[in-house]
Amino acid sequence: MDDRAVSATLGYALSLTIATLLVSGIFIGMADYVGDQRERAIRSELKVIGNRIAADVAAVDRMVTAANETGSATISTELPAFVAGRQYTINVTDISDETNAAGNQLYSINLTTTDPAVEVKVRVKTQTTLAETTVTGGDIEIVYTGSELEVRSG
Amino acid sequence: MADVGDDRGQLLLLAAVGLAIMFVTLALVMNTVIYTENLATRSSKVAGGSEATSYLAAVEDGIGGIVEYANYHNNTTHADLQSNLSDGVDEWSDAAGTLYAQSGAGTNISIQSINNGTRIEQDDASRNFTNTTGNATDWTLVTNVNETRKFRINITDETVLKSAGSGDEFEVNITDGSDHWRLNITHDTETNISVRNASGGEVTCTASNTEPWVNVTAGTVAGEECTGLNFAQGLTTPYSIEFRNADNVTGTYELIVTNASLAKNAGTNPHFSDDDSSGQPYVTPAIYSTRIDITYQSPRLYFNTSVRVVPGEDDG
Repeated sequence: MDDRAVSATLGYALSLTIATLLVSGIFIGMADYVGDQRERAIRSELKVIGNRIAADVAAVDRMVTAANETGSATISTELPAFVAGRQYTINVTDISDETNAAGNQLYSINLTTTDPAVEVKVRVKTQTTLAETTVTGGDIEIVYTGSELEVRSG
Repeated sequence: MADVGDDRGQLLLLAAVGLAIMFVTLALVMNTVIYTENLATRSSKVAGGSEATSYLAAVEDGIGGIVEYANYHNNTTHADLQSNLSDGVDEWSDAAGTLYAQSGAGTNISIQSINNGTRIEQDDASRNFTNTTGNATDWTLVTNVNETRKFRINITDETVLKSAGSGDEFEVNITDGSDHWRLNITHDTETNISVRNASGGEVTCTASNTEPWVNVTAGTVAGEECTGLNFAQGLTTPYSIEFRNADNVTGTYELIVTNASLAKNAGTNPHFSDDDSSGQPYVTPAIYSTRIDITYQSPRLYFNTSVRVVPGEDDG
């Protein structure tokens, strides 16, 4: 007697729809959340790696300056090849024009991944010229070639 | 809905499984961060860049000391000096190598080149600065000099010094043929050092004690800095070093120059004595400078350079 103007099929379809909406809502939320966390993880890792590279570049620069720019110096840096499962590239650009640091040159080490697109920039100041190079993430070598510093794949 | 039976919550199950997969993916992503965060806690000094730089400084000091020791012991000929220096450098390299190996670094030094020179010295503090026979009050110590180091004068009797402007005060005159650099030592109420460089600038410094040391190449008088006392300022190389009115000063002096052909032979050098211990001015072979090749290697770092060791050129 309570089943007047009630269709079982409609009830079934409604339940299904509402449940599907709820579940897909949860799925989408979770996917966004995981994506967000992945991007934060990548950013944090790239920052650490970038600062490591900058520290080693500065170390080579100090040695070369102490040696009055004669001779050769190399530091090998072990870096992870993947960040959160993605490959990344290391790019060095000269941004000395933006500052007026006398005698020092300012460079930006840019680390980028493509999917998701994340870019982290770390600045480093050196007294020796640093060549503008691009290398894939992984073990690298920072070499003084006799005239300038260079970041190479190791 | 009750007649559906035991088939309940299919979609909820799907949702739960989906969420579980997402959580596992999240865990995998976060896992990779652990390594990098650990990397962040390591010091960048692990590479050893600062050790390499301090090794460089240690080599300069250590080999500088060896050069100085060699210049005063077993220094009969340049060949003796070179062999002593070579032995000393090898021993230093071995000793330092053992020490640095304990911290995981390989080091090595070797001599790239040696610059021979001559040491001119007078030890008798009661003697004036004339030549060995005592006849010449204006005489040339050495010609054809490119560099000088460790040029020190010790005045032991200020009563012998003349006053400034008297015309016969003691003077060290350095000339490259056209320009002159002069250093006068005079005494009025205190001992004064006056310097006139090649471009005409003049500086006077007063000594703070009665028996002052004048370190000409380091630019100090009685241990205090004399600004403007820059050895041979404005002259071109090669230059000659002369004494004028050398009878108006008493004390000792010493200098090391790059001219290695001032042989220890009274026949060719009438101004100098053959006997080093007579107290009169003499010459002896010396090493002026040496260039050392340095290598420093650690697991992550390789450093190779050369450094010129010149003890006493610009320091005290």
